[in-house]
Amino acid sequence: MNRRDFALFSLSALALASPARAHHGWGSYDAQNPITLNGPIKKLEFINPHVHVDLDVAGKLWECTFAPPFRMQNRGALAELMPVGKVITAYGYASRVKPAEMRAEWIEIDGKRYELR
Amino acid sequence: MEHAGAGLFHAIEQSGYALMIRDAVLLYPVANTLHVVAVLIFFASVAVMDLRVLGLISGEPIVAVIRRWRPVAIAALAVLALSGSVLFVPEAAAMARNASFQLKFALILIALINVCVMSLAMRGFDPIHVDAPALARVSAALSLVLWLVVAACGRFIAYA
Repeated sequence: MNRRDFALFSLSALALASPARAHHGWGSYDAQNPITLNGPIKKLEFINPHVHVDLDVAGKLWECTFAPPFRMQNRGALAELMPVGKVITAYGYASRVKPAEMRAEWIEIDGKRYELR
Repeated sequence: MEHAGAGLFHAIEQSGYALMIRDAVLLYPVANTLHVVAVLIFFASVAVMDLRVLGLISGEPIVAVIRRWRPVAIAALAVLALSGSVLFVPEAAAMARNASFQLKFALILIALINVCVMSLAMRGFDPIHVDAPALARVSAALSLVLWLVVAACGRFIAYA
């Protein structure tokens, strides 16, 4: 097998989709249709590789993916600002592969915006 | 897509090691950064040896080049494995079912077998001879391609 064939083989193997996908990358989110979610926090996971918040949006539970903890802290979006019960706004994009999951471009807490990209 | 193996990876995600990594602020980003830098050092040392074996670069005798750079490659590989474990364990289940991750590891295994092939091919190589044995040269060429594809697979995990 020569070099070109090997490269083609590798690319083809990569293209074979696995049914379950890791949530990484902005590409698996519907960036053409941004959504704005507002509601109280039901759960906070301030962890690596990504901070997650479950938001209760009019009875529907959304899993919101934010930035890594280091970036969150760097930008002032501290864990203490997002306790359970706190109402926040998350603007971002719904997942194309996982229902009721979104990745936030920015969040707003008490009128202050925190950019996450 | 649940099966017996999936339980193992979920268990890894719940281990003390994984929970520590999830909660620590700097450990994961530092490991991620170190992983990338170690890839460069690993590939540079591997490439020097492979290119020398291939005769595409000249200079010190082949055996001397290998003797100098193999320890660097091994040390970099150890850093890759350790930093890689920090990246892996907090998301073990998602990593295990990630097609790019699976391909990356399959290729690493093949690349490591290829290292053994290279060693065998170079056994008893007389430094008097300028050209490395043909099998060693094939192995060197394969090594370059394999490790580059491994690196690409690593980057692509986030998108698979």
